[in-house]
Amino acid sequence: MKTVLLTVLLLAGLAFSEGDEALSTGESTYTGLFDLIMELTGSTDRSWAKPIENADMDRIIELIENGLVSCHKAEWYAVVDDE
Amino acid sequence: MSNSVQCVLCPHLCTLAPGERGRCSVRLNLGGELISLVYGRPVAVNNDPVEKKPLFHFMPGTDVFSIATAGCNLKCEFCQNWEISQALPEDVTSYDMPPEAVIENALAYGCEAIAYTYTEPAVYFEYTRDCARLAREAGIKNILVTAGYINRGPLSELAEYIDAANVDLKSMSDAYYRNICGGTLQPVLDTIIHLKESGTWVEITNLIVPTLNDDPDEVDALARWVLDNTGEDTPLHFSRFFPMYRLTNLPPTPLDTLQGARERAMDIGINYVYVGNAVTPEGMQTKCPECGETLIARHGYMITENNILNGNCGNCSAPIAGVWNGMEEQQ
Ligand code: SF4
Repeated sequence: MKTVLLTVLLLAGLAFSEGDEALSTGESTYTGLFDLIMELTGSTDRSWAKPIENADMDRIIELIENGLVSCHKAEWYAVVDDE
Repeated sequence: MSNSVQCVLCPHLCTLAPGERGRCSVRLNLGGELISLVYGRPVAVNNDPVEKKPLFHFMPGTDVFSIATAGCNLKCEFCQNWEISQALPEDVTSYDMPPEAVIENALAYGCEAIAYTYTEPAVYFEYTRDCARLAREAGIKNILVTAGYINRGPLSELAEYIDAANVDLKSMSDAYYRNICGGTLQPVLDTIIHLKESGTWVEITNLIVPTLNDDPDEVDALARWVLDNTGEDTPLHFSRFFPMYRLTNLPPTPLDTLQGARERAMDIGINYVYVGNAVTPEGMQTKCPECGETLIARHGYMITENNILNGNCGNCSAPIAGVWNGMEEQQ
């Protein structure tokens, strides 16, 4: 499930972001984590935002090959498992 | 598996099928992997005075090596840099400048800091972070000029290397963020608080747009939020709007409106309130909150007078909040 993967990633992110301090805050850490996950996954409506669009992949590949745009592995994403 | 990915860098949380790019336009699903199209490819490279960011309480008078790639996760209808922030990375000419070259250039130009600015450094996160890490190693400071629309995990990773930030707080209205900017308010407020808590020197800018966010009550709400959440010593810049991008039908912000906002925010208790993008008699000066002495006078981005001594007022010795050249003082 996509949510599971995202949850794992967010857990890792929160642990990273707050370090030892977060571990010492006890229950509130879990409350905060729960709120964060609910907030991030709760609403998928982004009708007010810029749209997600298809790229012209032939052009992008050509530009990558010519070194005019980068093909740098991004961080902070999760693979979506639709199963 | 669908080879789809979900980016969690910013609150948009774009889920992208192969061949789709995120709302920021610079992160793309290439065969089931998310890639950045703009790593090491800035489209703007300049040597700016730090006052232009604007940062008025951070190493005044110093030069800042300033870079930006294409792309932004917001779509503000008033964007002053829309030619690059709203452009697709493949449609604008870029430099080949990996992080090592950024540091080399900053050193060669005698810059004491690097600013990630003009567009939105959050969306070129990996480039910003890698440059900032190298800059820190080289003894160069890092400045983030951001709209603050980023999730907490990546922000924490970035904040580790960021010495100063100017965060654009566009409004205290979530509807304004949605309708005018294509974002939401709360993540921006969270970013400001998190940066402050992480020890970054923070200044806040609010662009006042006639008829859209110039209501005195909204100015009051913003100043109160700053006072309550980041304290009276957080510099607040009210910036003048000029007709731009999709808001060419509105006039420039009247100077009286900016001056009025400044006075209201100071009445509410913010010590350092400035007017930007405009020449006003008092709006560019830093005054001592204790004795009223003019501490830093500016003409445009030039410093014409500096009476801060060792981080204190040169007249009454009251401590002045900021990071002053070479003195590393921050209250
Ligand atoms: S950074 Fe870009 S791709 Fe990632 S969630 Fe935000 S808009 Fe979407």
